[in-house]
Amino acid sequence: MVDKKQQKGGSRPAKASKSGGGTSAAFDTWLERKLHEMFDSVTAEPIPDDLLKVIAELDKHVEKK
Amino acid sequence: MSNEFHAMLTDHLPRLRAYAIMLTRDRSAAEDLLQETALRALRAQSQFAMGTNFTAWMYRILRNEYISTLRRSKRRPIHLDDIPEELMSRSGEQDDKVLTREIIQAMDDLQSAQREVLILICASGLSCEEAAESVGCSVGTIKSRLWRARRHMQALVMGEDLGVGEIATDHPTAPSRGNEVHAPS
Repeated sequence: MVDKKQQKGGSRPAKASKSGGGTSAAFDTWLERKLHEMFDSVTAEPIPDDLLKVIAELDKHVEKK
Repeated sequence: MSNEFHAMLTDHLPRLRAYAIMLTRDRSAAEDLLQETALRALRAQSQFAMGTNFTAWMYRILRNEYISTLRRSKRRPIHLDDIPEELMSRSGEQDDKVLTREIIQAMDDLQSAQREVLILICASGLSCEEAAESVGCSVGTIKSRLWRARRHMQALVMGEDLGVGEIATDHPTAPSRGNEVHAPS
């Protein structure tokens, strides 16, 4: 079971017991949320204008060839 | 360029940029990588079969370009202080930042092939099939790497020995050898 703080990806998940299995699933869920959160924070940023201009130029250049 | 291809490329730029930042840990290098990737994709657009998986195709081009760049530049190892703030935490809570730092540090201790699969599947949200196509290996290999990566991360972040064997490390930014696929040229 993952608590509310874990659902936000904030706190550490509970340590595994000797048998391990169930808590590994909780850890996997927590890790995925955390990594996804890191990734999403970047995808939410606008693509820099400079880069879009360069890609548009590349597009024209490739089309001409 | 066909409008459809152009639209797909533009739609994928934010994800590809985030993938590039996670691979390079350097915004400037990531923008260069994304630019080279776009150029390769534009040049190779006739090789892309509409209706096949564009996401996996683009990730494969970016990955291969990244490998080529590493081989050319022998870039310096990345230190934690170089990691962009945006990768640390959105919340700004100190506890969260410390934890995120620990995760990034733990990922550096993984084998590059395991780190890669975590970025592709857990961070980027690719399916195992898409990750396999991007990396150029079987779905079974991806699943095995993913399982090992998760257990190693659990051992590193939680300090739990789960009996998955020694964590063999290599260069922090080097891709694994032997699983490169040919990027469209």
